[in-house]
Amino acid sequence: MGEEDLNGTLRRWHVTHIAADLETTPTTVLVVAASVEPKLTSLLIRELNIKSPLPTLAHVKRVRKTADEGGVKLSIILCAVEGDTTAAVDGHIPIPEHLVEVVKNFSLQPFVAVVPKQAASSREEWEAQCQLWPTSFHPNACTRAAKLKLSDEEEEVICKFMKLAIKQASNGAVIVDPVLNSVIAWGHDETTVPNISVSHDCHDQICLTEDEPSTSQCTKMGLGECHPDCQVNVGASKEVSQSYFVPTKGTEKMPRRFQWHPLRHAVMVAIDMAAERDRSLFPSSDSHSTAVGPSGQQEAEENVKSSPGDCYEDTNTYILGLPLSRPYLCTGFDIYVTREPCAMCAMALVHQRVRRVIYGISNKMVGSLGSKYRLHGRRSLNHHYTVFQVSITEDDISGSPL
Amino acid sequence: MEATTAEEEDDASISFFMKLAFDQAKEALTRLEVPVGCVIIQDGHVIGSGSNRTNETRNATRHAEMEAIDMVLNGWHKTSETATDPSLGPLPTHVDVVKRFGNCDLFVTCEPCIMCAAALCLLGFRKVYYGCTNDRFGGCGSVLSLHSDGCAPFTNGLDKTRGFQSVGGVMADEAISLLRSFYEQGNPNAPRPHRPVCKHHLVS
Repeated sequence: MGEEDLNGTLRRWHVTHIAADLETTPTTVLVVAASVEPKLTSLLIRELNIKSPLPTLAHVKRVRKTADEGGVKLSIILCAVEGDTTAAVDGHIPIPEHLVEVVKNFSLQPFVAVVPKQAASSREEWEAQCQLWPTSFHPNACTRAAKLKLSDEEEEVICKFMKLAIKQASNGAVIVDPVLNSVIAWGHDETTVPNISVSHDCHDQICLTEDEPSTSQCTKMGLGECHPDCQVNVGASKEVSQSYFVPTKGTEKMPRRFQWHPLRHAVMVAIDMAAERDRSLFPSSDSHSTAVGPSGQQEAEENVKSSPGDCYEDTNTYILGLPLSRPYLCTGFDIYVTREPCAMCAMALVHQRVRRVIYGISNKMVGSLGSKYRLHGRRSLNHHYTVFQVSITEDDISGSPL
Repeated sequence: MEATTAEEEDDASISFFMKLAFDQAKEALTRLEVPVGCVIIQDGHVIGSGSNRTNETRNATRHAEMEAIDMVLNGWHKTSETATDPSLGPLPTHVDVVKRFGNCDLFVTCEPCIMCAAALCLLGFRKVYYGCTNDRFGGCGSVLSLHSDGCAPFTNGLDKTRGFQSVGGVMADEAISLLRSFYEQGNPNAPRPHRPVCKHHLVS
């Protein structure tokens, strides 16, 4: 997008998927295996799981089943070949000391086998792996290294919201509900003393609208107001109005005593606003301040029953005539940010459970979603979002208000 | 990673300050928050303290460290407000803030997550003591090693990559049992699991 050509059609930026893993060439490792009597298999498995767990080969099935003349033949992995593997290739079978007894007790005939080093990233790769040794395959995880492809329409929507982030600031962010195509929260970098005075009491001085609204439809919602005052053209024909929640002055909020804060990067500011919106829209569920006790336990159980994601009908909160459900943090929301998030911001977005992160300009020094780190590919994290990059340039953001 | 172990440090003062962090953590438990607590020390004095407020604020970034940092910044802000020299402005400059945090140590009951570890780098803390490790999110050696990798400031022109000294395992057992007491009681704010939790099959 960015500019219009002579025909008035929008020329778009390019959107690239930033895969969670770098593409890797399939590699294999050696293991010591042995044939085993089907009757003894479960006993042996139990013993091996205790004596010789295979944490690095979780994707590999411990037992291989092959059809043999006269029945089924089972082979089981005893252990990985550690250290120098050349001896194993030459026919010497390295049995670790702690397994010598097992081999003797079960009268095993160990041999060396080849298994895939990493879990398959595609169905094709998995089928190839199973020729070596059976592995498990999780289709949900198979896109880790594969590039996702977006439709033209999806790319167009992404570019439009990225433009909103740029309108925020050269270092700006917007959090979007992709179902309603509405902006949930926004922010810009506040780590430096602003040249112009920016009031933190009310967010409505930041206008994301391109055109002034013809009619002002303000619906009372909880402690704040909803301004469906921005029309963003999503898709070819349908127009979806944007709902902006604007916290009213004087409402209870986090103390913000300073004009700038060394940690208030655009992402952190936007997350803060999303949380503020949540607290203002759904004050009724804010019941966690009571002390733990016999009743505290009960309360916790009740809270689990009416867990986030349910509709809080008692709040009478509606957007576009639909009852608004309370989000669990930013679950299901997308964030658009003009620059690649640093480690702090990228991890904050993991904590806040956003669905997708779409960023603009890479940051070689500290960028943590593809440049310095690839945080969304860290398997230990409890949440993984999808990451896209929009091909904006410094020129695109140089005209930003801040 | 620095090879410093807790034993080499001044044990008495370390456990004194860590106990203060535990007081914060226990206070969080009474508010049904994940019990993690934190104190910030400058010249032997506690200048900031805090505990998790993620459930209360609906903001998953409001970790104990963030709360304590904001308390310190608020304190500095107040001091500069009462200062007579108007040229000091509403807050010391970014460079001043980093210089001041350079004389600060932080005590937290659980290893700082990646977000907090990055924040501690950005602010230029001198030394960080933590209790138990955080295998899923830890940014001081468990998942990433931001304390040794360092983290360059994002926008403010200070381009030197900074890290901090990190000392883990201070009263780790107490930290683990405190966290366990919380998760046994159940986190009321955790999302509903996507699918029923089923027992892992050892071999399929």
